[in-house]
Amino acid sequence: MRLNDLDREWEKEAPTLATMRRENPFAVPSDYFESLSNNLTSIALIEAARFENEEEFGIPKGYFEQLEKQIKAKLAIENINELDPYSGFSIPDDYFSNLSQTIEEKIGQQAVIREKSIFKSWISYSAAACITMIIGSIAYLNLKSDNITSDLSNIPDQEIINYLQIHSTVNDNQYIIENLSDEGLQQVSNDVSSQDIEQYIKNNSL
Amino acid sequence: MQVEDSEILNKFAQESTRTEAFSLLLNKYQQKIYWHIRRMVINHDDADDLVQDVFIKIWKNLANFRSDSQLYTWIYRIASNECITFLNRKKLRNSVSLNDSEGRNLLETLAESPYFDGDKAQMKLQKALLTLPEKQRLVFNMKYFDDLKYEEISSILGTSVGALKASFHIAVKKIEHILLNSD
Repeated sequence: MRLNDLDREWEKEAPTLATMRRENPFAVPSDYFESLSNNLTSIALIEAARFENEEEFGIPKGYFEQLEKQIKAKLAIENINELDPYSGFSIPDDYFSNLSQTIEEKIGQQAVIREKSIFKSWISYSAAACITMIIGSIAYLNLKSDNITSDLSNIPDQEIINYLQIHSTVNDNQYIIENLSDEGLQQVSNDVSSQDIEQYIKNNSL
Repeated sequence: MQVEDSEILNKFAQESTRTEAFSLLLNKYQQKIYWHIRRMVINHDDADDLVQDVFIKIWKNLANFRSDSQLYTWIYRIASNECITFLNRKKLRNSVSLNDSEGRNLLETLAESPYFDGDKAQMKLQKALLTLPEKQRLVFNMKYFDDLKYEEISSILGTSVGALKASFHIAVKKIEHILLNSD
């Protein structure tokens, strides 16, 4: 009883308020509460299904353990990026005002060097071409002489002798004398007498 | 006949009857919680959003509810906190102090609300209530409209019974003064 009295004490202090009807002056759209239950039940079921399906999504092993570190690292990087980019670094006075001129000068020098190098490269290409031609020619000739040697070896010796007798000159004799070995000389002298040789020399000398 | 809270909790604990338990809980508490929120935020659409948020939180956390308090005080606590958070957020957005300028934004909402059926006296009372600080208005609503005991309000808000009595009496005096001195 005493508690109820205490609870009602305010009515003495506010008679106007106490005499007012304690009605609810607010209204709701028609059928609001009827649909509210259905809506809330649907939402709750959707929430339940959402949490169930979350387990179907796999995550890498140790993901959550690393996540905090990764987030902190990214935050640290963002903090660094927010710092004044020029803090701690200085440049010479008038650096930027002279920079463009410096760059243009260097561009000019590089253009001259490039021209010289182009000229030099032409010379190099020409020299390389000449050398290639020489080597190629030598190789070609060697190849040809090898072919001649192999061709000559197929010709009988007597035919070669007959040819040389018809077409030989004084220069050929000199060549033969210089290149004839003792063995070769002995072969010749066994077949020919000394008198024949002397007679031959007399007839063919200038 | 309304179902007991213990039955709701037992059914909710079993997965097979969880949805049924939630329906029972909605039937028992949805209107009470809606009006508790509506009297604070005035606007129906805001109240609708908040009541859904409240019951979704209840759905998610009811399994962890410890029976060291009554189920309805726990539900009221969630609803009261959602109201305070909503009103603080709204205050921040509008940069209008509900304390200093006597709830001008909510007053406008009240005046323009299509869902207000009260008479002139009721309108005066609601306008007077909007002059109170949020927590004091909460206490007044729970005592005056919901007829809750101070001990129950203390359990909901975490405030002592003595502080609640003092707060309510101050609110009553303010409202009486406004009712007597306004047109």
